[in-house]
Amino acid sequence: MLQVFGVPVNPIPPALYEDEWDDTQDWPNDWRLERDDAMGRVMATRPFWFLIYDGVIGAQQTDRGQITVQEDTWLIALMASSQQAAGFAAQIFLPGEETNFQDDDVPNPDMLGTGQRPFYLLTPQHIHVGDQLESRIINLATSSNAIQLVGLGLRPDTRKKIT
Amino acid sequence: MNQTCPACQGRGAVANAQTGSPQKCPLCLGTTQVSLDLTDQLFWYLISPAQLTANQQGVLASVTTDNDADFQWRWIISSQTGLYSVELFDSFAGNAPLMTGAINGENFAGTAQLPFRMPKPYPIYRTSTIKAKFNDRSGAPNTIQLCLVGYKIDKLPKAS
Repeated sequence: MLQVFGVPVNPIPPALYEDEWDDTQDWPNDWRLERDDAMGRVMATRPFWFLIYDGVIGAQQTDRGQITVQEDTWLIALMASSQQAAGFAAQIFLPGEETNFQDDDVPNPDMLGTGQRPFYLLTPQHIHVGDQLESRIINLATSSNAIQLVGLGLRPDTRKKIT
Repeated sequence: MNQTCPACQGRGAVANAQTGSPQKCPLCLGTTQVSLDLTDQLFWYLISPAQLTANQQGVLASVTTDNDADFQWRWIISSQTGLYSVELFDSFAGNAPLMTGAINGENFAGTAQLPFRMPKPYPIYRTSTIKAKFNDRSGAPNTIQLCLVGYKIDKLPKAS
């Protein structure tokens, strides 16, 4: 865990500090430590949600999505929603980095979380400005399906406090 | 009680250990101050738009943080009577959106039982405004309450 000698304007009692209580159901200890250490090295603090894919796909059809990242972003978590219970399968690519995050189509319950339980990456994934993030989505339902795939990132906070 | 950040000595920035370039202080997040007392107040800021009609788009609502303390945003919680999507804007950052487009509520907010936890606490400075633009996806009237939950920094009186 990243050791700091003060608390950044947030003196929550250690017994209630988020790393000490509600994470236990989500991350085993060693995982949590790895994530905390990696997160401690990311200086960006501004949360930013970006749509990796957002559309309606016909019954058992496939669609592709492509976005271009407008600003350096650290990808922290993945979430998705599906209108139909049958869900979808997906692959995500970073062609600029020649990176495939999957070799095959992965069903959404195995890859993506929700707002209630986001799929937090163990180490943040740096996506450079101008990189394209591509997705391939297969609707597994036998009817049309509204699918949204969302990434949560951190960006540099450019605000300047004036009060 | 706030004190000058011991990591950056109140400058709000430190030198990057590898490049030497200045970067925002990781301890005080650029605010130059850190609080070493247990004086933060748990607080809910509520964004509560007028009831959305079926498939209504672009309903604006906002919340302005109180003038008594900066706010450290740590959880997102919502309740609603139907599916919705939302887009947030930070007026303190020139109305910069916090997302590329409308995000479905189920991908954005949790519940009190399973709240969405911010990966890093995000400071919202006092008297700044967070605007939200809601869209109904349920096809029926929709009552939405979106809570930005966190701590008012250094708000409570110091224990003697």
